[in-house]
This record gives sequence, structure tokens and C-alpha cells, in this order.
Amino acid sequence: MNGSDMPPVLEARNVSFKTGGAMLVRDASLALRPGRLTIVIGPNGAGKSTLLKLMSGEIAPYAGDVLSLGVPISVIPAWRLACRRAVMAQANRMTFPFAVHEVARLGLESVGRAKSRVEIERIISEALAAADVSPLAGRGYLSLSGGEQQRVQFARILCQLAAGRDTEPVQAMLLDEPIASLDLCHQLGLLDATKALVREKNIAGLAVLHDLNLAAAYADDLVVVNRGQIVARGAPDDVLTRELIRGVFRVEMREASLFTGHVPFTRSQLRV
Amino acid sequence: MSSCLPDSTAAEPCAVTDALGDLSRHQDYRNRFAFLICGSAMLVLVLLSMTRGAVFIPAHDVFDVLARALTGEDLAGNRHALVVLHIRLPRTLLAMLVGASLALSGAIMQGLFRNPLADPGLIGVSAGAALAAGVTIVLGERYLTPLIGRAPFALLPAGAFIGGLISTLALYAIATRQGRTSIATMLLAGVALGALSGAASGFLAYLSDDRQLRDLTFWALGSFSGASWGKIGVVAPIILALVAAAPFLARGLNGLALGEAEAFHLGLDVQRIKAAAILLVAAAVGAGVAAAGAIGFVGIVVPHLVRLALGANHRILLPASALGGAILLLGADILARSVVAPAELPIGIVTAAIGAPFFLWLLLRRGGSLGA
Repeated sequence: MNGSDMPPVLEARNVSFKTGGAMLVRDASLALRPGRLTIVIGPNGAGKSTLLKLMSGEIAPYAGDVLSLGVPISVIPAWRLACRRAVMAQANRMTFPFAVHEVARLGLESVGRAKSRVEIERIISEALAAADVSPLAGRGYLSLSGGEQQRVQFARILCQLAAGRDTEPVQAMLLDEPIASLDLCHQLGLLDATKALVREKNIAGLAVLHDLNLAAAYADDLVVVNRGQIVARGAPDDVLTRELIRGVFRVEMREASLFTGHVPFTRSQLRV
Repeated sequence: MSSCLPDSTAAEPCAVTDALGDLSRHQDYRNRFAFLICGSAMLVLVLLSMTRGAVFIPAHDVFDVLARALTGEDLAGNRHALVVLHIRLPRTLLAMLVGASLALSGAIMQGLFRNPLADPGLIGVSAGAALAAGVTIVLGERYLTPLIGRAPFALLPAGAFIGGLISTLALYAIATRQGRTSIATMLLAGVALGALSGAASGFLAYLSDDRQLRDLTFWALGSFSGASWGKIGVVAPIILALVAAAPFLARGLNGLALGEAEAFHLGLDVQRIKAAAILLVAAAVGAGVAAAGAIGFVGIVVPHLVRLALGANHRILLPASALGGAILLLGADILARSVVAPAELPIGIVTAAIGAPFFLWLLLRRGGSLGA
């Protein structure tokens, strides 16, 4: 099942969102298909997170529609939607002293309600291992570093996806800057795990990233957002041009920057 | 993801599952042990509460009266029967019920506001309920009594419930902007609402006669001396509603611990959870205030201790807080009527004497931060 013949797991159709008079997202259309990882890049305040929130159903569009498998997500019950898509938001602050394995288990709070204890423990331990936080399972969440907390949140959405799979075999995962606080090894590890999940479980993936190199290396589809609009999309090597980086990010690439092969390399840059 | 940890610490998947199983089994044992200890403590306190007082009644006499009452035997000649059945038993039960409901509503409110400092007493909800109870006493008697005869007891909880509900809703509306609750705004608004309610209650004192004034004072400080089966009949159904809603609320409050948006992502019906939590807290606080007055600090001390001992999972936190609240208030009531016996202290004085220093310690321990 390649997914091109069925409606997208999540699809934004000409969505706009405005708040306080400012148009944060303007007439954006984006379709997430099973087995493909879409990565969204763009400057701060471009509307990346707003677009992700629109697609998750957290906020309702001012104009346009968000559909899931052809049905408007506003009419899908919250638990049903939760079986179909998991969301990892930016920086998650908790105030209560939950243990790490309890935070991961929160992913099952609604979706995994009917699961047996054995099944729940299997799902949690697999998710903790996949997020490389197994040794932290008994620790207090509040005592962890920012990067460790981020990996625990990743484990939480893995739990939700694992539990929801029985009800909704076609799923999506939405990650908002999932590697913002991670060290280099875990940045690669989390993106590897995401890509593997997208491929093996045929999940439709969406991630907001800031690192253009990683975005180019992992994206099936790269989407560039600037000032609330999608300004470019497609295969990374088609999208990431010197002109686009200059126009959108206000950064001039040095002559030495390599655009060889299909993965652009954008280190050694100069401000415009 | 492939492990980024040194090889020695990376574990095999099956070992991880076993470790997780051990972890949750260990938690289960710890929780059962805690409930066992608390249950035993409660039994001891119940025994103390039934035997101590103006008259000392030996435990075997208490059991004797209870056994006879249960079998429907005639107790007309028994000199202890009246004290045991109509004074101490309702008082003991009422202290436990109100304690459980106050601690439970504290725990629920803290989950709702995502902050361990939220407490119905601290943020003006109890004061709002007490004001509404006062209005019911003073104005209700003046304007309603001619219509319906002497105001029935059930009017008071209804009034207190509405007062608590209005305070909670106002607080939530003031402190929440775009789904995020500002704890600093909430505390300050709560102080303001509490002061306003207090001022209005003070004004009521000028409108009231001597008997009403005594009633108002009673509501300001709290006491179980007026315990009766009638009051239990009003409080018990509300506690039962809270207990029945606890599993649904526990799930919702666990999700809310991540934030409102995240709770929605998890598949929870956030609006319904919030509405249920606010209504139940208002009902519990209203019933508690109507039955025993505004009793502070139980709602903040008990859930915090439970979190320290057993963690933050609301599935454990809610029942354990109810149990702890029952123990604390029963113990405080025994103290209140034995410290200056044969007179007795208002219970609000005892809980404040325990709770206020605890609250200060809590602030110091958090480094002065309110978690805003």
C-alpha cells in the first residue's frame, strides 16, 4: 500500500489561522501520506508550530479545512483521533513528580485504556528502549535534564501510537522540534527511530526541525514555511538552494559549501 | 533508537520489560503498605474519637452499644447510647467525610491548575462558599423563612455550593488565558476574591442578630460540634459522587499534568474533565463548608504529603488523599476537643496551626518559587 491512492492520513486544505490581528498561517495546504516523513523548516515565527497545531486539531483554522482520511478532524471524537495521531509538542513542562515510566504511560491514558497489564508493560518497555531512556524508567521526571525529558516525551508518543495501532492501522505522528535539546548522538538516534517507524509501520510523519542538514538528510518531503506561507516543497536537493536559504533565512552560503550528491551540506555560512 | 549510552548500561529489551514489571510491582507493594498503615491509623483514631470526650466511654461499651443498635435492640435504658449514637458516631463520621472531601478537592484542584499550591481554602473558594452560606443564614432567614418556614439544612449546602462554584469559575476565568493557567494570577486573584468574600461576610455580621452571629463565627473557623445524622445525609452523597467520578477524573488529571493541549492530543475530553472537576470541587467544598465551616489547609497538606510518599499518579493520589484527609481531620477534631477540655477549640485553629507552618516549609523548599 503506497498510500497515493488513498486519502492522506492528515491533510490541511488552504488553512489560515489568525490571532490578535496577525495572520500566522496563510492559505497553506499540506498532505501527510503513510510511509513518508515530511520535514518543515523555516525561520522563527514563520508559522511552523501553528501549522502543526492546526493539523493536530489543537487549534481550529480561521479558514480552510483539516481532514483525516477524508473526514474533517473537528467531527472525529478526541479518543479516536488520538488512536490515529500522536503529537510531541515543544518543551513540555510538568509540575508534579511523576516517574519516567508513568510519564510514558500517559500516552496510554485514553488510547490504551482496555489493554491488559502485560500488554501495557510490553508497550511501555519497548517505547522506553526505543527512546533510549530505559535506564531512567524509575527516576523522577522532574530530576531529568531537558534532553532526557524530551526523550521521555518521545517514548510517550511511541506508547500512544503502539496502543492506537489496533484501532487505527493508518497513523500519523507530529513532532514539533523533537531534537531541540538533544545531544548529537540522540538527535540522530531520535530521527533514525522516527524514520524507521515511518517506514516499518507505514506511519505518516511530520517533524519541525531547525537543522537544515538533518532536515535534508531525513526528509522524504521538505517543506519550507516563511511568514505563514509554504514557500517551497519537494525533495530536499530540489528545495534547499542557495537562493532559498538567502531569501528565507537571510544567510549567504560560502563558496565552499557543498551541494554534492542528493544531500546538501550547509555548514560554513555567512550572514547576509 | 540505538543506545547512545556506554555499552555496559544498555540493557536487553526483555531485561527492560522485567525491570519495568519489578518497578510497578514494587510500587504496588509500597502503595498497599501505605494504605494498610493509613487504614490502621484511621481505626485507632476512630476508636479514640468514640471513647474520648466530655465523658470517657470504654471501648467495650462503645462496641456493645453499636452491636445492640445494629441488631435493633432497645437501648432506652443504656446511659451511653445517646452519646455514642447521636453525638460521637455522627461527629466521627462527619469529620472523616469532610476531611476526605477537602483533601480530595484539594488534589483535584491542584491537578486542574497544574500546581501543588492550589487549595480551595487558599484561593478563596472556601471563603466564597462561606459567604454564600452566611448570606443563606442571614438573608435566607429574613426573606425565605416567612415563605417556607424554618430554613432546612439542605439550603445551606446549596448556598455554599453556589458560592464555591461562582468563586471557582471566576478564578478559572481570570487566571486562564488561551488554555494556560497563570499560577501567579490565580493566587493573587484568589487572595482578592477571598478578601472580598471576607469583607462581605463581615458586613453580614452587622445585619445579623445574636444567634446568626454565633452561626457566622462558627462558619468562619469551623467546628464539628454541630454534627448530626442530617448533616451526614447531605455530605455523604456528594462524597460518593466524588468517589464515583475518581477513576474518570484520575485519567483526566494525569493527562492534564502534561498540559491542556497535550491532554487533548492524548484523546481526553478536556472540556468535560475540567467542567466535572470544577463542579465536583465546588460541590465538595460547599458541602464541607455547610457541614463544618471553612476549614483550611487540609486540601494542601494531605495531597502534598501523598505526592512525596507515593508519587503524582492521580489513580493513587486521589484515594490516598481522601484517606489521608479523613485521618488528618479526625485527628485534628480529637485534638480540638481534648486540648482545652471540657471546652473545645474551633477546628480551623488546629488545622491552621498544623497547616500554616507546613505551607511555609513548602514555599521554602521550593526555593520561594510558585512554579509560575
